[in-house]
Amino acid sequence: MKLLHVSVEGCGRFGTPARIEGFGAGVNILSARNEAGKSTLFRAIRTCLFERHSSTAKDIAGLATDGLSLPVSIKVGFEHDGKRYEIAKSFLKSKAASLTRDGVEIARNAEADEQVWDMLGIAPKSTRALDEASYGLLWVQQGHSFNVPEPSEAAASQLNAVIQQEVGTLVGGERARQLLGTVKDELGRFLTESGKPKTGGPLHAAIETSADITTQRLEAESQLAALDEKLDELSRLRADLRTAGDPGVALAMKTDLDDSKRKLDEAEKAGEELRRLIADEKQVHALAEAQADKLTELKRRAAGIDAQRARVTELVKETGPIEQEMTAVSAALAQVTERKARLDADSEALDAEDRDLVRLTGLTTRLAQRENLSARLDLLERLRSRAAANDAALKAARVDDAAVKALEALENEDARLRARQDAAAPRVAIEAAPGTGVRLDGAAVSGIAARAVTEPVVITVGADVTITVTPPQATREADEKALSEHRDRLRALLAACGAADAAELRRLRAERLTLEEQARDIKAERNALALKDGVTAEIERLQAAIGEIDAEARRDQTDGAPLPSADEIAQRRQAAAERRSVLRAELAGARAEIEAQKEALSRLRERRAALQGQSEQIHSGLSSDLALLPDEQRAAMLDECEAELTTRRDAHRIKAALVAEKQKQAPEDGEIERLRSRVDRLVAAIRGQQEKLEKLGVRIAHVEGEVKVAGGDGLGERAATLKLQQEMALAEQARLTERVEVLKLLRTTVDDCYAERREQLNAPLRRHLKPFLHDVFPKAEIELGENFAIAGLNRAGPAAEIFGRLSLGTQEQIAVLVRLAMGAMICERGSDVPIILDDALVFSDDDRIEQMFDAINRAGKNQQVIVLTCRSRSFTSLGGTQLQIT
Amino acid sequence: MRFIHTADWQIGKPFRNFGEKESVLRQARLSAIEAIGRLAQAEGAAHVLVAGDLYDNEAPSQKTLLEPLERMRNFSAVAWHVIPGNHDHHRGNGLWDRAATLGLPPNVHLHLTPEPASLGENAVLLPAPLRRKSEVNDLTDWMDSAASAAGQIRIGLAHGSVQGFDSAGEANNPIAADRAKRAGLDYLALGDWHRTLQIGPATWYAGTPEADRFNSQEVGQVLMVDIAAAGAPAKVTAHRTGAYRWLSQAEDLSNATDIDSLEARLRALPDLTSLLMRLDLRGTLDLTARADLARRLGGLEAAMFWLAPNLADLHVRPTLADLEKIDFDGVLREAAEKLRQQAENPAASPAEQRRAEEALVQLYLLTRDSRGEAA
Repeated sequence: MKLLHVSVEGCGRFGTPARIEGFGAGVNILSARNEAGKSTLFRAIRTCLFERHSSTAKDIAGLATDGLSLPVSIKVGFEHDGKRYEIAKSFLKSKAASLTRDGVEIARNAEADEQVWDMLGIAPKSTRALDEASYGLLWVQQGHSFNVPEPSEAAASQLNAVIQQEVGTLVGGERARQLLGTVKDELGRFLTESGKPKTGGPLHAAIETSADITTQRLEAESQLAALDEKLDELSRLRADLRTAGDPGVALAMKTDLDDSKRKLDEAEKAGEELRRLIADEKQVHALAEAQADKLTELKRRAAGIDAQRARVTELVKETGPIEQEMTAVSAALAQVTERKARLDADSEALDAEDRDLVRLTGLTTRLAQRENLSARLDLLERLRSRAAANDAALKAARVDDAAVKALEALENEDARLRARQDAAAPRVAIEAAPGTGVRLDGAAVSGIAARAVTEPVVITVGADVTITVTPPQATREADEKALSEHRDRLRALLAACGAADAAELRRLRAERLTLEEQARDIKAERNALALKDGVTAEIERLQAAIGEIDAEARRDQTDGAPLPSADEIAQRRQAAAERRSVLRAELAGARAEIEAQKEALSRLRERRAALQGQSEQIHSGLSSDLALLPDEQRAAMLDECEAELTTRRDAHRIKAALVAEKQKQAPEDGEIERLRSRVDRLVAAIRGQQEKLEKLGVRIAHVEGEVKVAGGDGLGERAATLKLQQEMALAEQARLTERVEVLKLLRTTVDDCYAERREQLNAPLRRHLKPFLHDVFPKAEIELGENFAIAGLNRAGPAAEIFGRLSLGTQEQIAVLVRLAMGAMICERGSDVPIILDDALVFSDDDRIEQMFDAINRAGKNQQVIVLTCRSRSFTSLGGTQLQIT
Repeated sequence: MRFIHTADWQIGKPFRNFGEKESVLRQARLSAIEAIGRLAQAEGAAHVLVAGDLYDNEAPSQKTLLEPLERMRNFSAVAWHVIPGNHDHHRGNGLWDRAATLGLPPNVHLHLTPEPASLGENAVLLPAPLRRKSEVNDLTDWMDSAASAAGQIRIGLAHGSVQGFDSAGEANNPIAADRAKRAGLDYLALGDWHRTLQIGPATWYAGTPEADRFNSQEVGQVLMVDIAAAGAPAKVTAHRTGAYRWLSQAEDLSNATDIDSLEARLRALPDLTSLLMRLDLRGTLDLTARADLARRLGGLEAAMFWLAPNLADLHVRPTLADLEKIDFDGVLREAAEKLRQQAENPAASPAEQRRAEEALVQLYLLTRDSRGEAA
């Protein structure tokens, strides 16, 4: 189609009728100032062509002129397939539409709306929205020229149809795109953009249904299980009740209890009677036993009296021999005591002999010690004498170590002075052949002779020549003076040491060292003697000890008798020892004998005393017994007692027989306790059984109530139904999940194949774009992506520039160029759609805008291009048909 | 003596998986009772022995509980003898107590204890009611020692699995295979096995009077039993009582001809409107045939009471023509080729292969839809 004219009224700033006419076939330019209504006209054209006349959309309301109550009236004239059409629509008020062809109305209102769409090749998506297809792509409203063209569904289809026509049906891009759209729409029913089940979608609903039914099923099964347990419990309770409520058992227990109570009563009475009889029997038995004890006591007492009397007689007989024996023992004791006294005297004599022998032995020993003391005294006196001599010699020997060191220092100094003198002196050297008669200080020189001239030297050569070499006078005198002083100090040292020369001084020093050595030896000997108080004190102590021994010897020999020899003393000691041994044995025997006699005597006395005690005790007891049982009443008392005993024993036998008789009839041991325990048990059992029955009754009623509540609502049916429902829900969920997976697989597979074909699909657009692009960007290439998106611009460099990083002006220019290319592509395939640019290229510089004008004019060669702009001066060079609003 | 032997009514069984048909199937089970009653009246059978599982579960709703009882009440000339089975075993305050509390019809006789019950002057019934869902003991043991008058026909009534018989009974409630012989029974009426089955000369499973599952009894029936006198052989005749036929069928398909044949055979089946069919399809079809099969199954599904096709083992392999119908070349053709390769890829799991097949079918159908062709 080609636009021919546009008329508006009540539209935006055009409250009054306004018209643009004279649209040409190529480039058309409407240049007007801002707010002249260019964009209003653009919107008016779109509204007239693409909106239903009956629409009350906000955009249409926004078109109405403020302050006027006029309808929005728009007329658009256009040429299509060689015929001229005019569509006139009134919006908002007096709504109407009229389509004329060559001046003849061919459709009205809705029909007019739709016939226009049919002619333009677009179709409404719904009653409200219209996909403007390529018109939406090529009619760029103000501010949208910067946007990358995003073809609508219909536009994409149209572009793909064009591409398909160009590259043939082999690519199948449009079919794939449409199929992908269908698949994505279908997937969109199930999933969100992020791939999760979509709320309200069938998959989400299936999942929720499954979860809900699963919960219900679990709840129902839980209730069913609870009911099952209650029924089981009820069965158990009823079984318990039947057992507990068995009347036979209860009657048996009652009968058993009554019987047991009766037996217990009888047993208790019999037991009581028996206990009483046993007590009587015991009492009678005790009386009889007491009487028997009394009789026994009387008999015992009588026998005791008799026995005591016999014993007294025996004691008298036993005392006589003891007295005789005591007399004999006393005599023997006196004899042995006398013998012991004699032995004691002998012992004392031996003690005196021992003491004398000790004295003699001591004297002999001390005399032997005196010899030793004398020898030690002599040794010490000699040592003291040697020490005194050595000390005197040491005092005389004055050359000590310091003197020797002083001597050595002086000798060294002398050598040093001489060496210095020698070194400072001139040297005379002579080399003479043997026999030449050369002499040095008188000595013949043969070969080489040299000497330091420290004093005048005479050299003769033969007899005729005498050469005297004299050292410098000043030097010689200084050296001599130093040597002289040194010799004076040496002499003084020798004199102080008492030595004539150095050799003697050293000899005297050697002698002193010898004396010092001797002094150390003497000291070592003294130390070896270990003298605590020194030699002199030891000598004095030895002298005192010897004097003391001598004094003792004199004192022990006052009797004047000669000292016995050691052998004699030993013989006497031996004899004394033998005698003492014999004497000790005899004394021990005597002492033992004395002790034995004393002990025998003591025993005899004790025995006699014991017999006397017994006798006294018997007499005492006998008196008491006789007081209780006098001899004259003994027989009568015994007879009386025996008679009483007989009476009591007869009474006991009667009682015992009665007890035995009763015991035969009485219950066995523990029988009463067993009966009482049984009665207690039966009472408790009957009571417990009654309580159990009551509790069971209450519990059964309670559980029955619970069962009635839980079981009457068809719980089992509900659980079975829910089980089926759950299986179905899970199956449905699985089916839908699998359906989603199938769709995803299909989408992915087609997507992948589509991507592989993208270059092929984009080739037609790239071919159409190339001349437009090179008008502005010579040699550049555009990289196209999914759905004709502009990915980048490849100019001179090896890598493409990312579209979004280009300047805004460049982005807009490329976006416009792509739209021009799309328009050219669509146009070439027979769909003649005008291109409208409303206020585009606002950021283009002067050079670039001229290049863009070239591109726009290139487009204008094949299709109508309408440019709306407020930049009259800048767009002057665009050329084309100039339009005016009238 | 003439009586009807039936079992496994399982009243209240849910058929929720049959959607809106559920109520019809539930109602059919109740209608079967009426069919039995009519049969008894028509054939002069004074007694109907129900060998357990009258109800599907032991906690039915009150309506479910009463519905069969009321239907039995309507046949007052017929004595219905019922024992509990494993699905509706008896226990205190259980469903049988509930039924008794609600009021049993006078012609319905519950046998809740193993005690002889008179079936007139000439016969005695020896019931073996279940008191648990699963009994480990043979509850028919007592029949061996059960006394009966000389010349009386002895009839056992039990529910469980016959030992030694390859039974697929639902519960472990053993019954000796030679019980009839050991107990001197003239007939042992059994329940639990949903197919009519003769175990011995005088031992039968009646099957269910209204079929309720696939791969089991196709049509519900009961047994009419005639016994001339004690010791005489039982004459057993099956009578159809079920309204619906449950048919399971497996078919191999490989081409359009097979589909034609299958459809023709299925449409030739009698009473399609009362037919429930599980159809297991196997084999491999091309895409065109597969799409055609889907269309035809849709028709058959509408023709039958219920059709449950199982296509899990039916595979799709596109022919060149199929692929060309998707496209001669281009994106969709390449996608179809990729999916075909994936479906035939031996390295892929069966699930992945199946998914690729289905994606291929979808691709085929969508491309046909886009052309406006009927899928």
